[in-house]
Amino acid sequence: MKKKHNLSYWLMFVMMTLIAFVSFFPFVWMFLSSFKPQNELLSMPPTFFPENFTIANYTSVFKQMPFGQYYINSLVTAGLNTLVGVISSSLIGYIFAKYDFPFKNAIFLVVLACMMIPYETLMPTVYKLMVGIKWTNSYKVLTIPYFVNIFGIFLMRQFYLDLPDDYLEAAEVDGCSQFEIWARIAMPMANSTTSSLVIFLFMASYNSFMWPLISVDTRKLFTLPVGIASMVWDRGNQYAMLLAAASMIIVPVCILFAFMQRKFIEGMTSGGIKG
Amino acid sequence: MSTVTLKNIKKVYPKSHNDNKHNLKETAEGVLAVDDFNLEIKDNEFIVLVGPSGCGKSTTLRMVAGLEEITGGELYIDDVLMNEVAPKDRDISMVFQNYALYPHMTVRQNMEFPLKVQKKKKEYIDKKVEEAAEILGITEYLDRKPKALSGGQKQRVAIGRAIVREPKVLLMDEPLSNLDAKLRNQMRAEILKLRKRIHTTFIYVTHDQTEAMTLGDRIVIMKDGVVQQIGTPQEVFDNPHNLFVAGFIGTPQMNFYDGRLLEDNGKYTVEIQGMKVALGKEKNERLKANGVVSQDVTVGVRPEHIVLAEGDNVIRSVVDVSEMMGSEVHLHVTANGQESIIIVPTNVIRGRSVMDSGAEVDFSFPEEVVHLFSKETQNNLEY
Repeated sequence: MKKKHNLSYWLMFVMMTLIAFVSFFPFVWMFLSSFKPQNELLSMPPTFFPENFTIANYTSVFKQMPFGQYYINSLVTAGLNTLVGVISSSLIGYIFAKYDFPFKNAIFLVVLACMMIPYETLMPTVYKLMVGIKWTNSYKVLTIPYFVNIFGIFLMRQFYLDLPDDYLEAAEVDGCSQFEIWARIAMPMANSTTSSLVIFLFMASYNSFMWPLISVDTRKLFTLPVGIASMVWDRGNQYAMLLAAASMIIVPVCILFAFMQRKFIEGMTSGGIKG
Repeated sequence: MSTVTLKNIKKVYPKSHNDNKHNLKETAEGVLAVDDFNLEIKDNEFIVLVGPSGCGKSTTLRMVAGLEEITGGELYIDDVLMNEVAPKDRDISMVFQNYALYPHMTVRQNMEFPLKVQKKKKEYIDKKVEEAAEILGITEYLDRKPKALSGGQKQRVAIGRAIVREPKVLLMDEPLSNLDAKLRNQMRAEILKLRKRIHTTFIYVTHDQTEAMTLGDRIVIMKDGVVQQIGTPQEVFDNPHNLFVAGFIGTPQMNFYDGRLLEDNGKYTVEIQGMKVALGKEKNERLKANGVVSQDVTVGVRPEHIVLAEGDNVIRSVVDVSEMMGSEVHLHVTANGQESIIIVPTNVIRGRSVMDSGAEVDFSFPEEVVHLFSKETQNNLEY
């Protein structure tokens, strides 16, 4: 039987389309404009499709700065931070959810309290610490501070809290060690929540600007956001080139999201309450 | 194949734990979930732990599995002390009530899992899994994920996962209670068949006395953490040691009447609502041996042992409702304010009007089916 749609359905439909259009349009604009020469980009009235199609913006991004190096830096650090962040969040969250130890709730409260503090207020302290142990201007400063993520711990704990103990006990009787129970049973069962966390952590690291900006000052270590910003400092407002670089930056995020989209939505909607 | 010995096993939870279970005994250390559990399970025996919820049967099973710490006493499997041994080193496997199949693995992977953890060779694993799948009739589902299976199939897979390892002891925690009635009967028969095909010691937990009676070689009846009686199904049915066991085993439940036991020169008579029943030689001897004197008692008689009777020495009652079950009729009657159930074969009452509500029915019972329980201790006076 065909479902009859009422007015609120259509209203919702129009709203959604509008929201999708508003969010998506800047990307289309960015992408199309990256093929326009600078003078066409700034012309009035503006053109929507490029009239003088050129890929010069893309080539000059690579020619005028070590864009490839920035790309590698960003991918390697974000990749590593995501990998370690997911494992640590999952392990720590699992421990908070499934083990009993003295002062567990008090410790968890402290951990949660850390989530409430805005990152900006922590940054000076962390920076001083990094200077003190001479980690600034290295890959270490771009990775290690990202290895533990409190939101990740919280998210994974919520999932594991709802995971029935029977699975874990079955694995224990089947002969698993405590670590194997987590690695072979609990972690794979958290699949959809973990996928959301992968996207979240990757974006957090890949897009972060402030921290790499203050903690690194060698060009060789610049990540993409800092690299693009440096373009503006160096060469003024070369908008066309900027758009070409920006178009390239979003590619990995798009790919990641395309792969994980279904799991991501599943994780966001059913997240902590999955049985 | 193994023996399991439980010696004075005890489980105490800290006081804050399970506050709702108030009929459990509380001691200085906490709430006593299982108290002084003693049992010797023979090689290849099928033991059923049965009792109402919260009686400590699952806790006992989980202590055998190693999932629950043993507070006091000793647990031996094959004469080796197991108290401090991790579950994975006890060589046991367990079937859970809600199956606990790993949802991210196929049926085959689920069944392979315990062998893979033991790092067995691939050919061996394949052979074992195929064998178990064949025994349980799940060969065609091997490549499915658990969520594509029905409840009965899932339970088979769970049993399969438990038997591939050929464990010393197979533990089952209410494995059939999530299934519907028809499937439960079917699976019960399957478990009986399975038992003939694999040689291992079974410990089975259930709250359903029918399951206990049909499956167990011996059954252990528990209440409030304390063992009430251990025996073969026939023993506990025929000679219940106390009022609880008498009421718990058998459907419909045993009828209980207030009565008075009279002793005269070593001969005992019991009087129930004006009806006198003189006890026979065996009962007289047993009561005498226990030094039982005249006293008020609770008299228990199973519904199937009651007969419709005529004459003076009977109990007079009025029918409330009657249930036609096919070959027999269950009459719910009230006699002097006490309700009881009488099971009458259908052919006996054919043509009589006793099935109508309000009909008057007289009944009695022979002396050998009478169970006598002390009002004070609720124990059977004969044992």
